[in-house]
Parts: sequence; structure tokens; C-alpha cells
Amino acid sequence: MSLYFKSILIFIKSEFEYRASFIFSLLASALNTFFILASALILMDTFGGIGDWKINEIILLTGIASFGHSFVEMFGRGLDHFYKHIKNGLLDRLLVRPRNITFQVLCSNFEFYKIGRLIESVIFLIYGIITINVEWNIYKGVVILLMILGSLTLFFSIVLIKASFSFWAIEGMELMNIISNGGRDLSSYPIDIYQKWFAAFFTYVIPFGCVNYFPLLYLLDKGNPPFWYGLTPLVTVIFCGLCFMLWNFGLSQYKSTGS
Amino acid sequence: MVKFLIKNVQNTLKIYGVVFGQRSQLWWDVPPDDSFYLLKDIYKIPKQIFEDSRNELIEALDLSHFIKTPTRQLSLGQRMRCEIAASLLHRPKILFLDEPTIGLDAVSKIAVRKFVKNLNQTHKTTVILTTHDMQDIEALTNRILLIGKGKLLYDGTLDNIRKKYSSKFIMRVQYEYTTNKININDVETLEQSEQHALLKFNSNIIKLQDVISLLTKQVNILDIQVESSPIEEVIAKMYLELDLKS
Repeated sequence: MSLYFKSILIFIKSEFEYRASFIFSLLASALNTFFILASALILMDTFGGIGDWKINEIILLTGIASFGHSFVEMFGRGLDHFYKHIKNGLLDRLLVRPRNITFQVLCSNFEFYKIGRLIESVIFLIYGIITINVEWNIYKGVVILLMILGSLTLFFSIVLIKASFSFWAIEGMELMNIISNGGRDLSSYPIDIYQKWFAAFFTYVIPFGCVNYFPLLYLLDKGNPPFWYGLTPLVTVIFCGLCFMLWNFGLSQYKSTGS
Repeated sequence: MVKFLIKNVQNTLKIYGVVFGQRSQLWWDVPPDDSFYLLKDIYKIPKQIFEDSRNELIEALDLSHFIKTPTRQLSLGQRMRCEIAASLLHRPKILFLDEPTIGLDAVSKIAVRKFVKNLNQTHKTTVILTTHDMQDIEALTNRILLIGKGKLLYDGTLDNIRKKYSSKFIMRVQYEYTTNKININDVETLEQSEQHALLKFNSNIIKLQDVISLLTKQVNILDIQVESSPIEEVIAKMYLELDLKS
């Protein structure tokens, strides 16, 4: 673990080498999420919410999705940009070092400026949790914790898939960005507003709905949900396991690009 | 079991040091020294050993005046020297050098060669060198493995290759003024003036000492230079021959 922090420190040091660029990136990434939320709020202000969803509930959905996304963007950047390691041969370097590969890949990149987005998502999260109309008990506390952890696991799984795909198709990364960025944006709204097939895809194939929509239905007691709706974030553990299998398979198939 | 295997693989990796000419070991935006300290943790090098080998490498590779400069600002030669140091901090038993002198200036090239030779002698490190630079081979190696199309074509010394594949010699002779034509059997005269001649012969047919002794009978020699064919040609010829056989 100390090695991880030391690696991170190197990247923080690197980013401070380009100070102006760091500050602008910080602002840009924070503004990005802010505008997504702002546009949603403006729309809802005009139309008075989405269906029977109130604004603070939407903010909580956004907070959950954006927390997982920005946390993984910051700490999982090594996997996120793993295709670069294959291209420039860094993976070969890592393979000859006496440490776990996944760990080394995670150590291999870190984007400090994403902290703007992360802090912002934490603010949404806290605001949402405080203002939603829920009678809290221990189980509901666990549910909200599961939602946060589930979101982390889910976005981590997605960068794992992205990294795994780069073993076969180095240039196809935009597709995966659609899933991670798109997933964050679409799961910032209750998925029942989408077409059935679309909602089904993001529930059963990539379980975005399971980390915020279903458990939040339970928390808010919308439409008499069964209690296990609160446990749906656990699905992401299985999802993550499958992604790890794919990743390990990719690693075992890897052949260097040569020099 | 799996865990045990993984540990085993990871421990095995510790005896290797690898320098890829094209794949940097160093973190790009920070000084090499920071990279060294991170590698200390990656390889779990004990503090004392790390300090010793770091100091030793800084001195041997003459890194002291740029070790605190961000890597991206270093010249290629400086960076390569740091790369080599980075691969040796954990004192590997076997060092792989993949094209260590590629693109280096003359000074760095010679410094790297000298260092590698010294490393091999003082630390008894086995150095496995892949290179296209034939001068690297001449300067450093005593054993050559020649690989082509995934097969081992040759395993032996450089001298052996020379003897076997390069039997042609070129001889430059300078002598006191004479108008006599040099004429020795089995020796081809490529050029001749009143004071200078260029001769070519095959050592499988006529020995070098015989050529010289015959020559002394014909001219008063002032100076002789003998050149065997350049190592590039020898290797190229070997590839051709060994490839055809297999």
C-alpha cells in the first residue's frame, strides 16, 4: 500500500511540473459535472421534476454515479489508459518486475486534477442524503453505503473491461468511453424514463440501474418495492468478478508488440 | 499452490535486470533519482544495499550532475545511463540489455560499453546483450548466440566465427621506393605504386606469415597493416550460409 502512495506522489509531483495546465484541468473537470447537473436542474425547474422524481432525488442519483465514476477516473487511470501501456511497451516493463500486474497497472497512472470532480460528487452525495425524505434505519444506512460501493465497483469493472479490450483492439477505446461516460450520465436520471430495451440493457447487461435506481426506489419507498431492491448493488461484485476473468484472460494472451 | 507459484515467479524476476532501449524504466516528468527510490520499493531493496548500489552507480555512470533533473529534459545518452542504473539498483544476477547503445553519441556509447564490461568483471553479472551494433559485440562479448527465424543458428565465440567465416585479409604495405612488381602466388595485388601496395589473400590458402616472408624478399617493408573483413560482413555471411543449410 505504501508503494501505491509513493507512486501517486510521483504523479502529483509530475502534475505540478505543469502548474497552469493542472489548474485548468481541475476547473474543467469540475465544471463538466456541474453543467451536466445544472442543465438537468434547469430543465426540471421548467417542467417540475421528472415524473414523480424530485430534484434532490435526482441530485442523489447524480452523486452516486458521479462519485464512482470520478473516483475510478482518478485512482484507476492506469487501467483506464492501459491501451497506452500496450502501445508504448510499458506493460513489458511491468511484466519483468516482481510485483502483481494489476497492482502495478493501478500504480502506473494517477490523475490528481480529477479531485475537483470527486469533491463535487461528494457534495451532491451529502446534499442528496441529507435532503431526501427517508425514515432512516440501520438497513437503509447499509443500503446507501452499498450504493456508493456498488458504484465504485461498477465503474472499476468498466475500466477493467476497457483495459482487457485493449489486448485485442487498441484503437477501439471510444466505444468503452461511451459506456463509462454515457453510463454515468444516463444513470444520473431514473432509468424508468428511458425506453424499455434501453433500461433493460443498463440493468441486466451493465448493471447501472442496480447501483442507484433500484436501491433508491427502495429507500424512497416508491411503488411499494420489495426489500431486496436495496441489495441490488451486490450484483456489481459478480459483474466485477467476470471482468477480472476477462482481464486475466487478456493478460495470459498477451504478446508484446516488439520493438 | 497458485499463490506459491506467483511468489516464486516474482522472486525469480528479482534476479533479472532489464534495459529495453525503447521502453523507459524511468518516470518521465520527475528526476531519475525519484524513480530510483520508487524502484527501491518495487523491488523491496533493503535500505543499506540500495544506498550502496545507488552511490556506486551514480559514480560509475557519472550521473551526479543530472540526477535531479526531470527525465524528460535529459539527453538520450544521459537517459540511457540512468536507465542502466535503474535496472541495476537491485543487483540482478542477470542483466538483459536490449539495444543499449541505439542512437547514442560516441562518448556515451563508449562509456556504456566500458561500464558493462566493468560490471561483468567486478560484480560477476551475466550480461545478455541484444544488439545490431557490431562494435558493441566486438567490444563486449565473448560468447555469441546468433538467432534467425526463431532458431539458434550459432553458439560460440567471436574469434571462432572470424576463423571460420572470414578468411579473407586485406594487407596494406608501405616499402622503400621500388619499381619492381610484387608477385606472390595466391595473393592478388589490388593496387600498386612505387611505395605502396594493397594486397588481398585468403588465409585458408596461404598463411599470413608466408605472405610476409615472401614479401620481404621482394621489397623493403616499412609498414604493414592487415585488416580482416568487417564484422558486419562476417555476420551477414553467416546468416546467409546457416540459413541456407537449415
